[in-house]
Amino acid sequence: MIVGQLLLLAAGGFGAGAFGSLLGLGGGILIVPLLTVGFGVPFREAVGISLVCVIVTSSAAAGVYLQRHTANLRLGMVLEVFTATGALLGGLVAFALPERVLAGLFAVLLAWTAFSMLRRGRVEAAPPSAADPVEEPGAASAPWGDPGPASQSLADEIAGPGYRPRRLGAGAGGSLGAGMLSALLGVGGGIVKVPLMHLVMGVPLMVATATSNLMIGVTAAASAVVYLVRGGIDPYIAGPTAVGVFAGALVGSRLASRIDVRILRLLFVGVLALTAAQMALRALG
Amino acid sequence: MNSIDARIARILAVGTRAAVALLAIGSILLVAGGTSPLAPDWPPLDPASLPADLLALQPAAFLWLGLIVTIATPILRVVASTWSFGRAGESRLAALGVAVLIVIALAVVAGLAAG
Repeated sequence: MIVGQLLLLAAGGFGAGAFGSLLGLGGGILIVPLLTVGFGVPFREAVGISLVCVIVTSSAAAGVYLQRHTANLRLGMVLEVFTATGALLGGLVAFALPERVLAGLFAVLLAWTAFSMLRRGRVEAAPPSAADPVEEPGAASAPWGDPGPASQSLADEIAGPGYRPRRLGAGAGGSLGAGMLSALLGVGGGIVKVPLMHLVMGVPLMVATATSNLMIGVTAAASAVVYLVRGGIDPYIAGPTAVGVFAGALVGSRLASRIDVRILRLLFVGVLALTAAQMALRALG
Repeated sequence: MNSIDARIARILAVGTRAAVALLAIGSILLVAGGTSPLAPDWPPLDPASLPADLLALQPAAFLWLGLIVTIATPILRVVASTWSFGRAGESRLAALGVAVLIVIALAVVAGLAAG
């Protein structure tokens, strides 16, 4: 019985890690519903455990992205100031909000994620129409401060091959919101950060995805510290779940090139919609 | 830049593996000792007794240490990045790294004050 419970938690984590890895999501979007709906864990405790799992997957994947030089460490460092600040604020607010409000917010996030995945599927099915926006050096729109002609601007400093991030102010504001979302709901916040970097800041999609992954660890750590210090993380559940998530993410990343992700995505959208409905019911009492 | 990326990738890889190993050991010891992972209560984190509890093979000690290593790994990544950027004379990025570390320190203080 006890071994069965351990294996169920690890298997649930494995599924969340594998699905998340196959579909380019952090496991958080799956772990919170898994623990609350599947195991009856209180919402706030599930968020604390999910943050731990999100850090594990982020750290594991970010190392690989850095080795492949896909993630932009400098851009990540800039935006992390804001995601970490948002996570700190969110971590404090999370303990003041009723669990029903958090469940309602999570239902909205699930529905939005399902919608985004459907839309992404349609975009991928369509022929490519436009290249990633690339801004010429020196033509960026208003980065913070202008240090003068003798020194590099911040946008120059964090530029990568073929792109120069723009609209740093908007990036900072969005990152603050992504950090709060992460802390309140136990997710990585990639659903905000990736479009923010790609569409608003003009960072190529692959770099945005890798850099978002790199940032998730620090963002989640800032709020996980609050949960840990306040006794909001159950180590008994977090242990097997995080181990399962780690193993699942490893397997998922190896299977990604062999599986038709389109079918998986449709299945996943259905699961997300169903879970969103359950969370909404929970929010409504 | 490439050496910074490589160094940080190594920190992340080692930290993650160490954390997962500790969490796995803690989980196995937990069920071996007959405690359900779904038990409603769990021993609180007590950093002072952690070394002794580890030596006594207490499952909660391994789990707590695993959680601490998990959370510390990305923080260590920021420390290493900040140090590397500072050494490379990239003072603006180093200052941003210090700002992130200050925010995390504030999170600890705020958590302790609120808890």
